[in-house]
Amino acid sequence: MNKLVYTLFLCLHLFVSNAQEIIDTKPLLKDTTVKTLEIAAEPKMADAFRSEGKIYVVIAVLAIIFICLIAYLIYIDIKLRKIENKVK
Amino acid sequence: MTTQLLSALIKKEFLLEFRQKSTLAGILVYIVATVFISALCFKKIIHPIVWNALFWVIFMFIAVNVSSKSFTQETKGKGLYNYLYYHPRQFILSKVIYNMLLMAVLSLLTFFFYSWFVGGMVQDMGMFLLTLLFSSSAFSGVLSLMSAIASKANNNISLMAILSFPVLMPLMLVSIKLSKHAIDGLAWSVSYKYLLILIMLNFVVVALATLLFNYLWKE
Amino acid sequence: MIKWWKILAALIILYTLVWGMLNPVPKLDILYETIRNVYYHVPIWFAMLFQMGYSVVYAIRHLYKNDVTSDIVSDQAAQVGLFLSIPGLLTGCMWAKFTWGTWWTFEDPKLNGVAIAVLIYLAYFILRSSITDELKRARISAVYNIFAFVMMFVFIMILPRLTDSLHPGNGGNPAFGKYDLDSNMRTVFYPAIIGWILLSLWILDIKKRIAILNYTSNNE
Repeated sequence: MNKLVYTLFLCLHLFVSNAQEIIDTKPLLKDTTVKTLEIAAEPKMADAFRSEGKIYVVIAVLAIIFICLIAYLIYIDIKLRKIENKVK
Repeated sequence: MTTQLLSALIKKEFLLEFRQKSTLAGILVYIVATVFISALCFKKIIHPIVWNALFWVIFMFIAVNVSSKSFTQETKGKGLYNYLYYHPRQFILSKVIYNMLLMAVLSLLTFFFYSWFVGGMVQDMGMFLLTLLFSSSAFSGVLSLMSAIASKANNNISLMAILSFPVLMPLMLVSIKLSKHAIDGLAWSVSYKYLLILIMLNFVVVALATLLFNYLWKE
Repeated sequence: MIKWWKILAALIILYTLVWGMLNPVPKLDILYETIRNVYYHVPIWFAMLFQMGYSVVYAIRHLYKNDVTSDIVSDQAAQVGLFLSIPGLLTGCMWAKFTWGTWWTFEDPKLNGVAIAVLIYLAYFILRSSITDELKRARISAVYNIFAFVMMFVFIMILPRLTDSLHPGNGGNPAFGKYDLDSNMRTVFYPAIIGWILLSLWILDIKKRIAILNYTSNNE
């Protein structure tokens, strides 16, 4: 358990230091005229995708369906457990 | 032969009903009391939608009350007797037809008292009476079968209501729509569609009731 | 081994989940991206209707054969149908809130039809629970099942065509049907229906096996 936490921490540390390196190199690169790199530095997230068009509703719908299915699965599982106990 | 038996059965129903005058009188008191209560509550109903809704709710409760006893009176010994002498189709048809006639009369009475106490609103009287006639027959078709089901299951009155209300809903909606048209006095070309549906529902309901009663019958 | 159609169900639904989000959809006012709910909300209703129909078929089979298995299947299919109405209703409410602006409306015949279907099947289960004798219960509930299904069918299929509906395709609301459910959407919508019906059959299969196990263990 301890080892796992340690490795996780190490990974996180490496990741953070890597990220810092990227940020550190940014001002250096700015002077050069390579604009494509600057765009690459701004991660291309689907901001517009989520802010418009009520896509949240679709996600909510999917979540509801999933929750219902899982709840039903749990219900069936409990019922099956009861019958198993009875058979034993 | 079969029609003779059928008419004999219907006659028997009527005889039983009139011998026990208390039940019929009970229903009459029920109608008058309900209408009177609504008259006291509303004084005079001006809004046609409210008038319509209240009328049909009263109608539905009366229909359920009238039909719920159509199978509860059949005792075990009587059931055996009927089982030996009649075909199930005749038996259910006699119940349905008897209930139809009774409901038609009672719905007319309800309408009469209701328009007297609460105020009449109907502009197209012919359409309204047709609606009343066909919906009372369809109601009695549904409710006869439901009462047969409820009498087989043990607890009667509440089960009857639980079983029949959702099933009656399509009928209710068509009737309400039609009677709303009649109240507003719309042209028949607008409402004939709904009337056709109501008549078709009548056939469907009676056919299903006679078909399915076979399986309730044998025990 | 697991049956092939169960895997197929999972694969089809996976496909609809992925391609349903990615494929281009018609651009419509009010609906916007929520039109994708057609792939997730509507098939659940199809699956529910399918299960209820399945329940009725087995009710009829029970009346002919008088066997216990048909009654068990009929009962379980009705349960699965009733269960499917829960996500159907919740997702419908969600979608309605953000497009029509209300959680529920009594104006719409489809919503009323669904409400009545739920009431009918609740009444069916109350009827079942109120009879103790097994054969009697099976027969009486089969009779009620058939009768109620026909009335519900009338309600859902015929009445909406006579009145206006907020749902696209009927009444004064020509959203799909006319130009909207284009060939692009069909490539997801039809598989989604098949996939959800297969998934509901999978659930039914598990429930049926449990119920039969329960029945045999009771009668040993």
